[in-house]
Amino acid sequence: MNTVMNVRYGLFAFSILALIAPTGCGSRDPATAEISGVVTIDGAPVLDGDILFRAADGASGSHAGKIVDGKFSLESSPGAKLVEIRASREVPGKIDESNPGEPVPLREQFIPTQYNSQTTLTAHVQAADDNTLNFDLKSSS
Amino acid sequence: MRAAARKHRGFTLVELLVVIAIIGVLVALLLPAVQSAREAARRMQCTNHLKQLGLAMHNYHDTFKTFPYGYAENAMVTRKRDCWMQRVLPFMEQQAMLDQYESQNPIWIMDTLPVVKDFQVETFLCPSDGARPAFGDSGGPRANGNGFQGNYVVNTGDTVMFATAALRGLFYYDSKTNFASIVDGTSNTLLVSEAIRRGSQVTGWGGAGSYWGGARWGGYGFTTFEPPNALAPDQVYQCKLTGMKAAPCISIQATDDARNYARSYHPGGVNAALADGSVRFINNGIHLPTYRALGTRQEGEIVANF
Repeated sequence: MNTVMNVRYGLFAFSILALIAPTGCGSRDPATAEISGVVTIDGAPVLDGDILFRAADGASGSHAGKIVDGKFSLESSPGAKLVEIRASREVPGKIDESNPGEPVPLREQFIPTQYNSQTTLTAHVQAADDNTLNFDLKSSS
Repeated sequence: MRAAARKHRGFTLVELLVVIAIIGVLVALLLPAVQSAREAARRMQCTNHLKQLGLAMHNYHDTFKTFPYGYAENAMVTRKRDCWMQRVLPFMEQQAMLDQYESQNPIWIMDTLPVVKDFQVETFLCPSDGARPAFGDSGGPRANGNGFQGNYVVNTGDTVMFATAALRGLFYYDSKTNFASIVDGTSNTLLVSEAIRRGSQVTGWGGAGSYWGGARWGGYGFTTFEPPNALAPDQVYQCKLTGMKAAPCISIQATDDARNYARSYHPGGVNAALADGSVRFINNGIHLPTYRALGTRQEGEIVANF
């Protein structure tokens, strides 16, 4: 009879441990939304660049993604956003000598500043799962 | 007689199994804790380095009545792109290094000889960033040296790090801030924080901590424009290593739009020294307006508890 009791106690202790062991403290990401779309400049896709969604009220951090062959997709927190788009290309025949004595081909940011450092481009990211946002930029305003 | 026999019976199989199970669970719980104790130790050493940098800044201020500049270029005849790191060397027990550097006196700081330029100053390295040797982000090899890169960067403010503008933080181009200019209070203004070096490659230009030539492109400092360990990429002249989850970056060439953010491998945030010399752990989830207020020296924001 005593052996039966022992088995009972054993099973009881074991089952409690088995219940406790796997529970941990998990953390959930704050709600994010998927954004994807196409970026073109004067109708032609931006081949290689970067896109940044910055909170318009400045109350939270930004989310960024790469533009490849004109397409981008990224995860962002929802809300009103300022959008910054950057891309660079080599300037034929021009030389950069920022490191004195070491000329390298000059590269330039060819997206106008009203789309990046002085951005006026806005977007509203819906909390829903997929946002499609397309941006058609003009090289001169 | 029966009772005496029972006393010497020993353990049953079930009792043994239960004890083994308990030990197993305890080990499973403790092992990860031991691993995180290693990181805790590294973080503590990192904190100590920041404390020493904070003290060095205070001692510099005691001697020269001002904080060192973020970096200097046009106003200099020699040692162009000299930055705060070289200035505080004597206050970090590295007087000899500064003496050798100043006696070489190159026109451009990138042409300092490797005996000085490549010297690894441990106090400028955070042990959690394991990339050794600590080189790079100074525009590539030059004068047979790669250029030492450290983990600690100074506070430029809460905006883009414009190359030659007066910024809202404590350090910028030709800055001469002192304790009196910290109107917001020394306990509410950041002094130094840490960043990630993105490996040991000798390429890259302007990434955080590039003291020997990268200062012109933002390598001397960080901005509180984005929260610590920002998801947004750092913007530097030439990105050393793209695709790093912990420290994304993009190349922006000479565009005046440099941004380096405070980053670390410590779980959950970064260490930062405040202008009063104290070192705090700043959580990634800090309220962004509060963090930006910590970046400015005289904007008069009320800083919430952080």
